[in-house]
Amino acid sequence: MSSLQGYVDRPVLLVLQDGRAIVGTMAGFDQKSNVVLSDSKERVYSADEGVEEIPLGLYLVKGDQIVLIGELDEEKDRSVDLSTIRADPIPPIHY
Amino acid sequence: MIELRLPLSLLNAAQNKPMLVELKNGETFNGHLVNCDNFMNITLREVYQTNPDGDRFWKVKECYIRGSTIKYLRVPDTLLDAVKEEQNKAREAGRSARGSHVSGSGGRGMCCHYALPCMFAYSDEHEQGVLPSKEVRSNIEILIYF
Repeated sequence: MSSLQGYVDRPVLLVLQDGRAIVGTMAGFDQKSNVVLSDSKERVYSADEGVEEIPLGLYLVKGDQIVLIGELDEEKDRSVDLSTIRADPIPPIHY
Repeated sequence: MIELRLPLSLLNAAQNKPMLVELKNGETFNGHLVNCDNFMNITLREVYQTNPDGDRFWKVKECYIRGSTIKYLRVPDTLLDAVKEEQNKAREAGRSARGSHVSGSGGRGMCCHYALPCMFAYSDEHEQGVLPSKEVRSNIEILIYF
């Protein structure tokens, strides 16, 4: 069985179906991949400005909205200066 | 394994606490949680609702939101510690309750009391009066022996 257990208490990046990228610490999850993130921040990417980080706090994201969960390498992440990053935001999924 | 139940226990612990709910269509609801269930259906009171663009809003006294329409919920940071503490307490309580049961007296004897009527009931159910199978009978002997 594939499980999120290995991600618990680790820094993760979540990508949602609306294109949002949220980083935070995975505090918990359940069978439906609902995920609790603590100290979470949204990273807003844009083509002509640096990445903006918006603090969100304690977040409960529904599993059916989640596209991707990945563990963050904290060291590498810290070494990146987000204000120098230019990127188009991920477009939302349309049905 | 505590973490497995976390999302819903967090929501349960959020009763009467303020929260922000965003729906899949982008509408947001700010209010206090009245009640919730395992589908994540929720009722909120004293709600401020905004449209997806965030340029119009409404005050609603109480509303019910179907869980399947929710994108995410934002809850107070302090709830996480409260829930973890509660789960630890529950685990401790469960452990000590089980412990006292196991250390209770007469483990084998109790087994005899409960098992025998069960065996006979089993044989009565067969219309032609078939005795319990050999295996079951030998079990009965063992139980009586003990």
